[in-house]
Amino acid sequence: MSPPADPFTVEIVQSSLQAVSDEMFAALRKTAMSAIIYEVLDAGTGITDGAGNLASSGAGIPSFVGVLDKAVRRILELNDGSIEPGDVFVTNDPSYGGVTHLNDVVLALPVFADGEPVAWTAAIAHWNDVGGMAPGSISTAATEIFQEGLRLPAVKLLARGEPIESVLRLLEANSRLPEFLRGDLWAGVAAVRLGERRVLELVERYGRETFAAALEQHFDHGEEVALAALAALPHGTFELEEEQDSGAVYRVRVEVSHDAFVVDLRDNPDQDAGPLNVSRDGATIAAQMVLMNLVDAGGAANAGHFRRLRVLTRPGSVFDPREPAACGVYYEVRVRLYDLIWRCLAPHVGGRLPAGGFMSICGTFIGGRHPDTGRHFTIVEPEVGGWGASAERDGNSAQFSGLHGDTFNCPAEVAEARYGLYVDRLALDDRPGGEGERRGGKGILLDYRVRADGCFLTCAYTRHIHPPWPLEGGNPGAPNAVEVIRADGSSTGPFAVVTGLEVNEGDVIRIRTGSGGGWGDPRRRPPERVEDDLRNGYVSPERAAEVYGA
Amino acid sequence: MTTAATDPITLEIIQNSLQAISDEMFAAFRKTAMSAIIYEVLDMGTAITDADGNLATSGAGIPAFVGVLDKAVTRVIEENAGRIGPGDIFATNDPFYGGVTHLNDVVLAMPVFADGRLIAWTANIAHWNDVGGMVPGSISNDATELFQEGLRLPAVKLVEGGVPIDSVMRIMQVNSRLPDFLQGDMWAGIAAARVGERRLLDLVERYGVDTFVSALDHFMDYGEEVARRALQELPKGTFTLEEEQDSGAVYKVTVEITDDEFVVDLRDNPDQDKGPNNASRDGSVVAAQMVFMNVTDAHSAANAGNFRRLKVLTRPGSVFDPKPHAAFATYYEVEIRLYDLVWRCLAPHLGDRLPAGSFASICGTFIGGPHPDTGRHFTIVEPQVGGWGASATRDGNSAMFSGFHGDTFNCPAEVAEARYGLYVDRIALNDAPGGEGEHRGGKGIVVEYRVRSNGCFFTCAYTRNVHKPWAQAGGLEGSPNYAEVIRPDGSSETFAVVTALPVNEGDVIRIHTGNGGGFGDPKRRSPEQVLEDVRNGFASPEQALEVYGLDPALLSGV
Repeated sequence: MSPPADPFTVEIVQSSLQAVSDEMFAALRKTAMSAIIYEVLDAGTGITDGAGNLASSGAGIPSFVGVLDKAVRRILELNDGSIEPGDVFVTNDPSYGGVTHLNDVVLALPVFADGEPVAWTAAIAHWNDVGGMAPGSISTAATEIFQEGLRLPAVKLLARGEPIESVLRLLEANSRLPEFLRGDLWAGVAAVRLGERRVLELVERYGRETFAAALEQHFDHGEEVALAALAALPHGTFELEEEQDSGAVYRVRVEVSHDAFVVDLRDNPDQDAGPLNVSRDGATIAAQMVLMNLVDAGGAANAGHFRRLRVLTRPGSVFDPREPAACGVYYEVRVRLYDLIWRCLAPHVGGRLPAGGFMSICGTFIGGRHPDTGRHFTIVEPEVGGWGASAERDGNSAQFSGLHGDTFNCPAEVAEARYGLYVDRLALDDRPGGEGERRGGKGILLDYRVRADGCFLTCAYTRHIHPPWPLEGGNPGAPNAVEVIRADGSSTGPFAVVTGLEVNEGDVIRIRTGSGGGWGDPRRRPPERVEDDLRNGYVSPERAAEVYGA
Repeated sequence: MTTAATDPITLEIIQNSLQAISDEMFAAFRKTAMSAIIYEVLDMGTAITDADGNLATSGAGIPAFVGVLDKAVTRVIEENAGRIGPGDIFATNDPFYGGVTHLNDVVLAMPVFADGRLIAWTANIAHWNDVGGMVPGSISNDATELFQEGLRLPAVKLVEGGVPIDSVMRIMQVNSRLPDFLQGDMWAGIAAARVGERRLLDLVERYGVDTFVSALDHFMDYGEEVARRALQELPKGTFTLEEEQDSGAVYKVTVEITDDEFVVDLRDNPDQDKGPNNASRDGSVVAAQMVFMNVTDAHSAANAGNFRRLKVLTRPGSVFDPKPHAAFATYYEVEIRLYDLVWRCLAPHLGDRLPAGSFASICGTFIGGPHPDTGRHFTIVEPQVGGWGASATRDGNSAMFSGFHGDTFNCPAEVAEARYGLYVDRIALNDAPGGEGEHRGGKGIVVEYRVRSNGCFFTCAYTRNVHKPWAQAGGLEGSPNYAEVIRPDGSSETFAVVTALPVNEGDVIRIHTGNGGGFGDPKRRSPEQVLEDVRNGFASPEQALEVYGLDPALLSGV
């Protein structure tokens, strides 16, 4: 048991860990080779204690940071007795602590002080291509994880600071984009090593015991915050079942009491025969994120916040699949689950949660031969869309989903230079939907013009058939959809799911993301706001007359 | 510094010892492997090379596999220069990294050091059941890129200084649908390479390093000499053939034979296949080497010296020398087609050295699914035996593997039934007409697998289906290779190429392999032989009368 640390030291250590995570993130971003990392910021960094408990909420995509503690714990399990200073471990496999899908590669480094493990620094990032049956590794046609790329089962990549040559070469040989893989890999290694250096500076300054005590006290503080918030929430058991675009019906039962938050997902469909599965760890992250939204939305999460959370799943179900389930499109399953729990609770938690947003990753994969260089390119892009309205305000327009948090979309200029595409248009989307006393935020309309023959488009959006949900009498939002307009003027779509659709020079891929759901009866929207919407082009005069009575 | 012994007796002993060591490695591998494709079918090979990767013995196992090993070692040396030490074992399976064939065939190679000096390599190759990829068994006719065909092992270390590299082992296991089998087969391969190392060191201890090294050099020179003499006896000239394949592609070969060179020119061939029908340049060289051995030194053991006079010309980007990242899953049908093509090109010109065409397909048959007794996944990977072509002097052999497989065996029905969840209802010689001649082609087979559980799959990619085994000197062509799937309701379909066809309990997969081509006019076959064929059921009475022109009176006694 460590001696208690004074509150100032605890606070300094805690804030320092947050700063270290941020610095690791900056290092990763500044050294990564792929735009999906350095522009889109499809990455995360974090620090855990020696046992794999999340010590800082880290930096990057919230749902990614939640992966890191789970990955470290699995690494500890699988490598017991052979973990040494300078090692760097790698995992990307949901059955081996990888949580998400094979494209998301976690690197983790044990930090030793005086020969004792005091912490882990970890980074996760989306790697463009890890092999598998389709370029970009994600295929909606996959039925087994073996088809989704190289599985890395929580093994050493570096041993005592030395790269294990065979592993590095295996990784490169199994990617369609080996130079990018190498660049992104070393960016990740640099980030975790930087984290190690900074953590050791902290330990040196405050002592190993104080450092450990500060972490422990911070976990306790997280738990106290969560407990206090739970006490203030309405207590009871809330249930929801919701049909998905696929026809599957997902169910959730949330029990909120003064000292526990139980998310019961056991009554859900068997695991998907395709890639629409999320690991149990991934399902837990969805629950953790909703819990943070409710108990400490402005604070930084740590393991303590989640001590009162219990997630129940059924092995063999879509939220806890067995090997070798495919998980390529896990992100849509997880964002659906996040939205499901949110929707289940929103009507009961007194305005804490807004109406439904476009809430899809809208992962867009386009690849082929770069028209200028002749080399293979793969664009991997999540899309921004509209968020739901709340009692106090209109929804935000053109933001990433809650799973992405503070990330950015790839600038048109970067996309055009890196990838062989023109970005013809990027605008707020005009379609109706999401009207209300408070209206949902606007989605976007994005046109990619293809510049080379023989390219492909793959996507798997949700909220296409079932649009974003409103609250309190608002209107549902607009759906997410893709359309391909051929050079000859014919068009395909709108659709939401396609794998390897051939697109050629001159074809336009038109992406529309949904607007968020509205809050409250549109007739109660103040006329000056409707006026404002009309001036901004957010609503057409006809629609304003019809829906708002303007 | 000892002086190298050069007396012929010592050299001969060393050479024969190398052959014995290859055989012992083969035995070690076979006895310790976990998969029937290795220990029963013997879809594997072992060999020894010199320090630079030159083949020192013809090794043991599938001829086409032994030809892989020197090329793999050469590449391992290139890729790992400066990092090769005693106790290391390297792995490659990738045609772009010395793997030659396809990703299922994994090569393990071990450098042998004596007194700190690299003196040789021991190596082996075997077919591993599943190395990941887009389909169970890793081989898909739908693959268009190597990445879809499984885990690529780019000539990297698996064991370092005698210690397994844990990360690599675990990555290999987790990327296979059959990790236990992979582990078992991998350790069998490691054991085989290590047995070879130990025996080589025994030899070196007995005869000294210098003698050992000079014996290898000497024997390669001898191999060259044998080849050169054989070349001098061959008809000289330039021979050309073009042949349409079942796929519609036209393959072309020009062989130029001179007193001291044998040049196989494959440059004028189609662009690489978009699917998995490609052979690497190394693989094309193996096909040429095999024909070369057939015509220059059919009975002795090959070494690098034999091939010094062989030149193979290919065009990068073509089906016989594809560029990254071509798919290779069914390389074996391309390579055997090439082998048969070079053979057919030369057969009419080389006297009686080469018989008529045979079924000449691997007839690779893949069946997998849940085992009805254990519930675990099984994958059966089986080449099939078939009929060989007739020659000027004799009938063709029946029910043998193709020239690629050499001395291997088919999986016994009992083993197949126990290991895999299938019944083997029948194995019989094929009654189909075809291959008649003064000497008739050997018979193919009919084998029936009855599926015992639902949710299984069947994949195959046979050739010599549209274009049948070729005849010589007026014989009749052989019969085609194909598979028939018969459903319990009696409906049936036939295939030469199919990927992951669903098959369920009660379905029968009936495989027909071709009869070899005939040699000479059937009317010239002796009545006694025709009657013998009728008695054996090799020819029907109608065939005897119509094709062989047998006197009807003679039939009455049968």
